[in-house]
Amino acid sequence: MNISKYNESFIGEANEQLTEMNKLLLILEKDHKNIDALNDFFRVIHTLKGTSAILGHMEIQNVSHLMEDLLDKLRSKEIDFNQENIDILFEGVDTLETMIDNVAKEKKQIHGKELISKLNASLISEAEKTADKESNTADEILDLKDIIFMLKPEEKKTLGAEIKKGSNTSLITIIIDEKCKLVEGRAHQIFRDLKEFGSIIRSVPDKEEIGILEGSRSFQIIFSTSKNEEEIEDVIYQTPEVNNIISEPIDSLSNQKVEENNRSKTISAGETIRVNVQLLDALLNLVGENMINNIQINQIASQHKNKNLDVALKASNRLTEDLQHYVLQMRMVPIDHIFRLFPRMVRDMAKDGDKEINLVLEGGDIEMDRGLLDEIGDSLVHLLRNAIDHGIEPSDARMKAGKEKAGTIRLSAHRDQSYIVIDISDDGKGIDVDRLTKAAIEKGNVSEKDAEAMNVDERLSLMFLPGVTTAKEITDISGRGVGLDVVYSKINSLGGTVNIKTDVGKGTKMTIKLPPTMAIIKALLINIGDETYALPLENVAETVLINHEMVHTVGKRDMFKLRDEILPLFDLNNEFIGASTRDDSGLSAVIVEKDSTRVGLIVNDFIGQQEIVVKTVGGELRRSKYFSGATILGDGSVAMIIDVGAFT
Amino acid sequence: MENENNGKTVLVVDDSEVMREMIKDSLKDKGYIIAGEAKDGDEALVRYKEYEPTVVTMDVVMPSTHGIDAIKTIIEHDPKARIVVISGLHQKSLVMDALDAGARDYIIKPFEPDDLISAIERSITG
Repeated sequence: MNISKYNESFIGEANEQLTEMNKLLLILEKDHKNIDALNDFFRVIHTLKGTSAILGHMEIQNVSHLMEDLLDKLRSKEIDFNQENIDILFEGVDTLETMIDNVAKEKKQIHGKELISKLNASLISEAEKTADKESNTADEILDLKDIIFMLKPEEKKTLGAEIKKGSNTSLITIIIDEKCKLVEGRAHQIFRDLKEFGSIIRSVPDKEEIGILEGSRSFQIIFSTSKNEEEIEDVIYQTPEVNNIISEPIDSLSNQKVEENNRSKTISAGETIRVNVQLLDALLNLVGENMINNIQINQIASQHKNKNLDVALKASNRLTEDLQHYVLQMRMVPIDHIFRLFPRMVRDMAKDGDKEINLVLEGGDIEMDRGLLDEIGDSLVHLLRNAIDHGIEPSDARMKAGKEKAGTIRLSAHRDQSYIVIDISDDGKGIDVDRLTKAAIEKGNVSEKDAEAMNVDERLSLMFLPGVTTAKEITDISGRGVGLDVVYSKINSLGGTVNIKTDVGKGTKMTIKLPPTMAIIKALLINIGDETYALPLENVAETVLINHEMVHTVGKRDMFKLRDEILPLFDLNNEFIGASTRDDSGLSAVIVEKDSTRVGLIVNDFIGQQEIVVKTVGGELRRSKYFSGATILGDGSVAMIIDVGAFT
Repeated sequence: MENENNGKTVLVVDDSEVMREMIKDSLKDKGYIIAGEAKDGDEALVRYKEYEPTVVTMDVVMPSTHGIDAIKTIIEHDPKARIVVISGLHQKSLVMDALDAGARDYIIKPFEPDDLISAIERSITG
């Protein structure tokens, strides 16, 4: 068997399992008695053990096996659950992470010797060695919770309606005698008989799959009836070879809770498939190229004026648009994909800094473009680190200040029209604006005079200049003054904004605002000199023709009056080419807007509006403040995408 | 001899004579009365009407009328008919069809005489 082809999905799955384990450990660390979390953890590690064994990753199998043993003993209370065990398990997860990473990078595998001896020690200290408790049936009997996970939306709806109606709904687990030669026949009889007394909402496995697996002799059904439990069990026991029946009533409350918590999980369990991100990127690129190609064909067709060609092209254009829509949809992932990495990170950083921090995550279900999500990950990490290191005070300082001992960092995502807004707020000590200003002056980022003229918000944004920090000492976490400027330019290059609000003594809130996708945008194409440029349409307020008389020069700046508003005016010919090519026929200006600041940009000509595929630019161009990216036009030429932020 | 089964009659339907003999012997040992036998589905209905047996054992794979069809016609004639289906492991779906057609129970070949007896007992009491 060629197993290497399974490695890719193994790595994907394993990484999800690692995240899950980290999450569960954090729960267990707070609540040692949380049996559900313990069971879930056991299940996850058990699965990882199995798959790694099949694929021959014996080191991973080895570590997960030992962790499983430890969990089993914790579960059966043979070993007391203490912080030491938690730490060993955390270490285990870290080791597994390294191992899985090694598999991904095809690096030489580690053995995790130190961890293994710790795990062994934690196991051996409890003298008795129990025999392997592997179950002797091929079945996995699932919890009610797990089965409710698996329900299809319509099944869930039916179940909900039955509960509401007051029917007796229950999860019935039926175990057939091992002597039975045709388990599915018994199941068939039971199904047939039960249908006379109520309805089977779901069966696990599906009815057609009952008994197919060698050694499988149990199945579970969600049944709703007007009869009581006893009557129903009597009906089932009429069928020969029924060994045992376990009924568990489903009551509305717990069910709904489960339903809400796991709605997204249900979808991912049954109706999604795993696709390599690179394939999605390739697909998007192809759609982009296809769009560009279509534009070319449209241009050629417009010269031929062939009606049939036009009709066919229109259809083709529409299909491309649909294709683009679905490709973009496919790239949307819940923001939770990165949010869920943070609790573990925050825990470790808080522990290192001797702080107590509660991380609150909100809006994890908000979806955004996968590529965009990847791009902002580092920025979020950075802002979180800042909040932990500079925001939240050590516990004693917090107590002295009359605050809760544990600080709170809130990471919350929500939608604002078509934008995605992510807030990172902390209830720490806030930012001392005066100290910040002083630091910026010392570093030479701003002159004392300019600083004096600034308002609080402007001074706060000095934080985003390279090298400015208020940290007294450099820590492991942050404080080297490197980073916030990187965050700022990163978010800007994605077409987003970063804002800070701070309240000394009370906390700081950073707000990132992002467009929902960065891949394809609507743009206004304009001419400057001989070149074509693109202005993102979301920044374009209107286009106007203005006379020379309307332009006034105030200081060094050109201003003009648009209705009741005085707007700064930039001649893009001047900015880009260094020479004005204005003639006397009047000026074409685009009124652009960003962060509620509006300016006018003088261009040579408006070409029209069009969807463009955003490509990132590298090298010198990336450092230019004027451009956020580039696109390829219908004729194959490149047009730079103007970053309106450079003028506002 | 188990007297409790006195008076309980069985119609044995199977196209194989060897099977019929074996089934009949097992039943007789337990005190059942063999009402009669049939070697295909058509004959099964005729014999059923003739003897009105307590229980029918029915092979599902037979020439001419299929076991399933025979079950259907017998149930149509007598909805209370107790039929125990005998099937090979390779005709799983026929077992389901037979149960849907109204068979009370099934046993899978090869079977022990006890399997047959308990299936018949269950079909009578159930």
